[in-house]
Amino acid sequence: MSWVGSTPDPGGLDNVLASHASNPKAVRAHQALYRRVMFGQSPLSRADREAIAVAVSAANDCHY
Amino acid sequence: VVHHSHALTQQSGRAGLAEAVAAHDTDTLDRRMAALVAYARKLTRAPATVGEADVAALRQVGLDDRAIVDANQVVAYLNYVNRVVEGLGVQLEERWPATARTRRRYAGDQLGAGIPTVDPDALPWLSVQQIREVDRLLIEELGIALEQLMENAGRNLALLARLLLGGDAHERAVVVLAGPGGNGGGVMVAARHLAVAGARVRVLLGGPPERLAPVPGRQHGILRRMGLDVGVGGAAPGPAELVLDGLLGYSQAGPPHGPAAPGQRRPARPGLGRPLRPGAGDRPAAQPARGGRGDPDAGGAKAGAARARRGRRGGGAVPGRHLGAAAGVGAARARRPRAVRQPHERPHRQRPGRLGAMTWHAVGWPVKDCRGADSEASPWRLEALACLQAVCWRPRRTGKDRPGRTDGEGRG
Repeated sequence: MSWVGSTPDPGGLDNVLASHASNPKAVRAHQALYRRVMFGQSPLSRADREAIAVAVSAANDCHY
Repeated sequence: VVHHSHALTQQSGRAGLAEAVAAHDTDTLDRRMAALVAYARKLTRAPATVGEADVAALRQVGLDDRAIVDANQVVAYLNYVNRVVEGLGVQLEERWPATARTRRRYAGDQLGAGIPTVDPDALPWLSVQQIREVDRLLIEELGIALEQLMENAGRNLALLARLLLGGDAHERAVVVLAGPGGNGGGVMVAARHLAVAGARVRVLLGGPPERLAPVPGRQHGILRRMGLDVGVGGAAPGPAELVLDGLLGYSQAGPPHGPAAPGQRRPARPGLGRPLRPGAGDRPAAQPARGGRGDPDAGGAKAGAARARRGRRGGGAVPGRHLGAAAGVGAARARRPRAVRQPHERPHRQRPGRLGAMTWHAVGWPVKDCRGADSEASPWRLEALACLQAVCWRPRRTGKDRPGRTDGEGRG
């Protein structure tokens, strides 16, 4: 749920991706970046990356 | 924060880790993660200040170039996605429990982030006499009225207090302790601004209102006419999330007594459950030493020359152990959630280096411009110094007569 119209069935997407569903190519590009950066092969562990994610989100005061 | 805290807890198997990271509580993190978190915060809060040294710090904890690139990508991606969320009003999904879906503030722990910090010793130590001269120059030669100085200091203190409260003062309990001098007037200004911002403010005077110096007395009148809750020391302050302490100032001579005395002041911290009350036979308030025209902290009371001299001598007319409590902001712990607790809230003696950031944030002057300030005083620096002492009370020392910290105290 967001301030802009989401597609009726966002296909189980989290709200953050559903929020820009009116631009499907942007959603796909976002998803690809998300998977690459957060789940792709990396010397950083998953926990390392999630810790950075928490630190950035807290610094931005982004509760989501 | 919610999404990735959940993932971090799952991935690390460590309860409390996500909270520590969100609060930037690096003491509990291992070196590697602390370095990653520090880089992430700096790049998020003040991207233009990131330098090669910050990347070198990542190498030092064993990260290679690829790891550094990946860390940078995660920071950049999260900043992107955070802006999608905040810019489009994205709500948490229904699957999260109601407790998780309640919006929380995290930025409250960022006081000082992105603000240059400086060791207090890198700032000039001024004697009481020098501070008096600064005040005289400001008020008499530059013509900046004492009310103006007090308003600046108090308003900035209120802004700082709001930051310490996580940005929103609405319905937050704040206790303001006001002495008879300029600092008391300053915190009463802050009380007014915080009340306007919706805080539940309780003001406690260190002595009867008749003892207030003229300008603080007018601040007191404003508060009364606004209908604020103003009492005199002796009444229990009640629970508070934040205490603004303006009981003492540089004109203080002799040890504090009455409600301002340390033994009496410590209980004023909320959550400790003991009332603030004068001890038997105590006089009512911290006593101002001199009533010079240019002295915002002069309480107007006449004090003997001997007492004034004592007040000026190095080493602290007020023993150092009182100083932490006498700094402009004393933050309460009891009712603050851990996630928004400030490093600055720890006793100042443990983290002297942070005091600079706090103070400078309060007065709104960039620290770097004041570093190594000496006799070459420009008007803005003078005003900064005057605000500084109004917000953060420190023992005075100059390079010349620094007494060499004989007792390990005497530090703000």
